[in-house]
Order: sequence, then C-alpha cells, then structure tokens
Amino acid sequence: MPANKKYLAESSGQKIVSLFNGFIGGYLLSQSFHLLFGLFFDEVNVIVVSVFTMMLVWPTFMVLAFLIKPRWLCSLIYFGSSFLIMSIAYNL
Amino acid sequence: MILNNRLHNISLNLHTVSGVILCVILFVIFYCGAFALFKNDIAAWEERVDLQKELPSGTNLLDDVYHNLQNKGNYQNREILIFQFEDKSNFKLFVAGDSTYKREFFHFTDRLKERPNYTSLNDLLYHIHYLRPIPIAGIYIAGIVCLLFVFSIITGVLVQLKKFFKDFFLLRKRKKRLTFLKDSHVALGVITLPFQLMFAVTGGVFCLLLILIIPQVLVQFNGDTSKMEKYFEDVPATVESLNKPLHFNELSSFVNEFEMENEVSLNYLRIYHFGDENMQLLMAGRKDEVDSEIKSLYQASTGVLVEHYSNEEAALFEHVNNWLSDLHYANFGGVAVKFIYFILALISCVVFYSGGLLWIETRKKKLKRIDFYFEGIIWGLIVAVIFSFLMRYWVASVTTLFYGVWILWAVLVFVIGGNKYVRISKLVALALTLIFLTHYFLAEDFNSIHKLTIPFMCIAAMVVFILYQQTALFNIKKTQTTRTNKE
Repeated sequence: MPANKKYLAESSGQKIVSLFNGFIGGYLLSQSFHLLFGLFFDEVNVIVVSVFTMMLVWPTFMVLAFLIKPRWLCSLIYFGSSFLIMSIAYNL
Repeated sequence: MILNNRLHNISLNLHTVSGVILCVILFVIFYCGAFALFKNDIAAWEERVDLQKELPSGTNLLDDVYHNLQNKGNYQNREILIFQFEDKSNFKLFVAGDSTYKREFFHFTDRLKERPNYTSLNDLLYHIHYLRPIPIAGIYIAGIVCLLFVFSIITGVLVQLKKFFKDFFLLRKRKKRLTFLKDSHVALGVITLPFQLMFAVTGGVFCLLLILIIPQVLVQFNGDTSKMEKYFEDVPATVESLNKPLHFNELSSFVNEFEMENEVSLNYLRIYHFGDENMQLLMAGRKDEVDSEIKSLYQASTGVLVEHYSNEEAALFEHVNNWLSDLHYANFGGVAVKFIYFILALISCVVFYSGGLLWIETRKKKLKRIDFYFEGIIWGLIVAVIFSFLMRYWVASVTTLFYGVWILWAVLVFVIGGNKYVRISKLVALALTLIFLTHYFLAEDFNSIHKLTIPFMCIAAMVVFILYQQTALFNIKKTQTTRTNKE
C-alpha cells in the first residue's frame, strides 16, 4: 500500500526544495504571522502564546509546502509574504 | 475536491517517510516517558531499597538540608532553588551561578548524603525521555523529533481524512497480518490522537523554546532581549543583601505555615540572599488542579509576608507555562490521571510499533533484516527497563547495566532472529516482571496508593505489549500468512 508514485515529487532536487520551503520558509512565515498579530495585540502576549502556536503552525506550513503544486510559487508565497510582513512589522 | 487523490498520496508518502524516521526514537521517548511519569514514586522506592527501611511519615528534612548547605560554606548571599519530592525525603537543589561562582546542582537524600548526580533509575529513565544521554545535541534532537511528530500527526490525519470514522471502527483481525497491523494502527492512532498532539506540542515547547520565540523577541524589542527577560523571570527579591550573616532555624515552619494558610502543597522554594540578614523566601505552591500555582514572598528574619501572588494575578506567561507543564507531566487530578496517561502512552508506543512494522512488512523483500534492527531496539528497551528495575534491588547504579542489557538484547536478534526472538523476549520480559513483582510484594507493605504505581506500571507494560503481540502472532498461526523467519 505504498503511495502512488504518480503524485509524488519526481527528483530529489524537488524534494529538497520542498523541504527547504517547509522548514526554513515555514519557520519564517509562521514567525511573521505572529509578528502580524503583534501589530494588533499586545506584543508580549503574542510572544507568550506563540510558544505553543508555533509548534502547530510551523508543521502545518511544512505540510503545505509539499502540497502547493508549482514549487517556485510556494517559495514565492512563503519567502515573499514573510519578508513583506517582517519589513512592515519591523518598521512600525 | 480535485486534490483529493493527490492529497491522499502525498500525505501518505510524507506520513510514511516521517514515520519511519521517527518510529523507533518516539517509541524510546514514549516508553521511558511513561515510566518517568511516576518519577517521584520510583525515587521514593529507590530510597526505600537503598535504606532497607521506611522513613517515618511526616518527617521534614528541609531544615537539615538548610544546615548542611550552611556548613558547606561558599553559598552565602547566593540564590538557591529547592525542589522537594512528594515524600519529603528527597530534595533537588539548584544554586544560581554568577560572575565568581559556577551554577551548581545537588540531589539530597534523607541521609543528607549528596547522591552522585544522575545515577538513579528514575533519573536515567527521565533523561532518556528527552535524549539527554546524547551529548550537547540531545535535547535539540528531541525538539526536532517533536516538530516532525506534529508533522506526522497532521499528515496522518490527512491520510485518513476521507474515511476517518469508517476506518476507525474497522478491525479485520483474521485476514492478514498486514491488514491487522493497518487497522490497529489507524484505530489506536485515532484514539490517542489528542493525547499525542498534546505531547508533541508541549514537548516541543520545552525543547525548542528559544528557537520558537527568538526572532519575534528580537523584532518586537529592537534586539534588546533584556526587556523580554523580565517577563520570564520569577518574582524577584524586594531588598538588597546586607552582607550580615543571619542565624536562621525555622525553614520548615515557614513552609508549613505557607502550606496550611493557602491549602496547597509546596512546589518549589527559592531562597534569595542565602544566609543573609535580608534573606527572602519565595514559595510556590499548587493544588491538585491544572494551572493553580500561587506564590508568597517572605522576609526570613522577621517572618513577615512581603508579597502574595494569587493565581489570577499571574502573568500570561505563568499561565501558559503552568498549563503546558501540568498537561505534560500530568500534575493534576492525582494518581488516577497518571494511570490514564501511562496507558495512553503505552498505546501510543503500540501505534509506533505497528507503524514501523507496517513499513517493514510492505518492503520486506527489498530490505532484508531491516526488521531485526527495529525489533532489536524495541524489545531490548523493554527487557532492559524491567531488568534494571529488578537489578535495582542489588545494584545502586544501574546505568551501565541498563545500556549493556539494551545493547546485548538488541544484538541477540541477529543470533536468534525473527518471530522466535520476539517470543523469547516476551517470555523473558514476563519472567523478569514476575520475579520483580514477587520481590516487590514481599518487601513492601501497601499503606499508600503510591506504592501501587510501580507494580501497576510493570503489569500494564507487559499486558499491553503481550496482548498486542499475541494478537498479531495469533493471526499468523490462523491464516498461515508467513512472516519469514530469516534463519
């Protein structure tokens, strides 16, 4: 009952890209998500709550990184939006 | 949903890959962690074994610990954190370091002898639980394992998404070994899903706390982490030290007063400016509920209550910390909750075990002997744990013995091999359990529920695994679906 190969990543390069997106990009994106919340709520409270929401959000992004079809789009969404949010949060 | 087939296959692949990486390591973590739930009871039992007698109940040796520290010298004016075990005969002490002194750590027993650190069985099991024996990187590896565990749980749910309820009630026991493994993996996985998710999240927080929050702290406070530190620190002392020694004799009466007045039991005690005129005592106590910690700060010389912090006044960080640690350590609801945790942890172990076997079973032809490593590590651990419990009656430090038996038993699989190995391991583990229990029942008188926890653990561990194994093997006998014996 192994998974059908048709739907999986073809080369190891693609797997590494997905893993990189999920691990690094997912980390940055989930951090910037919390930074975004920090703009609207008390920063300290957001940081404190983030200790456990990070553990849920980060792996979710890791899964999503394998599901979003064109991998460059996934990289673009993850890194682009996280840098956008981070620059906003940092300058405000 | 158009993605449905793709979603199923991709998540199945991810679940398989992450599961194969994790199954053995998670088995070790959960099995040792299950025993570490009753760490205090094991510690008390080890004390009884070492002493050959029982302590008089209600003895409070806190004052002796204090005097012992004072006589040792060198601790004047420093900050000391004391954890007291439930039976009040064991203490853990942390002495804070500063520019001139190093951080120190002691473990006091009732004989007021300093026990060499980390040699007892309870410490050993607890340390393996978060992979401490691996130097430096151990706790981070455990953190990454937690992270991948959440990943694995999410993908596992995605795999089952379409037939979540249908498959949950399905157990084709007599068809094939593979279907039995799959059905039991799904059913037990769904039962323990919230429990496992809770452990993955809380455990990950304990291991990776800094990595999880540091970028936000740096951004929100413009790189000044000291602003954040004050939110994470305990209640500070309100006065400076005077550099005058103080004759102090009534630490335990302070603790008793604190416990009586607030109807709590002491969680920890923090001494500021040890042995100084301005010594202050911070006591934290908790009830038998989730997130119920209260704190009081006393001036030692006068006995005045300086400040009191009720649970409502606690900062959000305290609440989050209390919730996470209470959920993880099962600090609420008494022994009954710990029993439930223990059973659920063992069932989680069965889930990892059946998951690993599933992977092996489908790839057995390609990867020869891969199941030997798997079975070897798992049954080696099971035998080593019960063996060190038994040997603890005669040997004071079982660390070497534990690892020795684990490795030996793991290597033995290459000698015996296959099903025969599992059967022999099962018998040996069962025999060791019976010998241990006989010894235990002869040595103890059962005047508190805490003395029942160790037999409970041993029996439960054996029952769960042998029941599961027996069902799996029963299958083979019935249907003659051979699990090739590679001899």
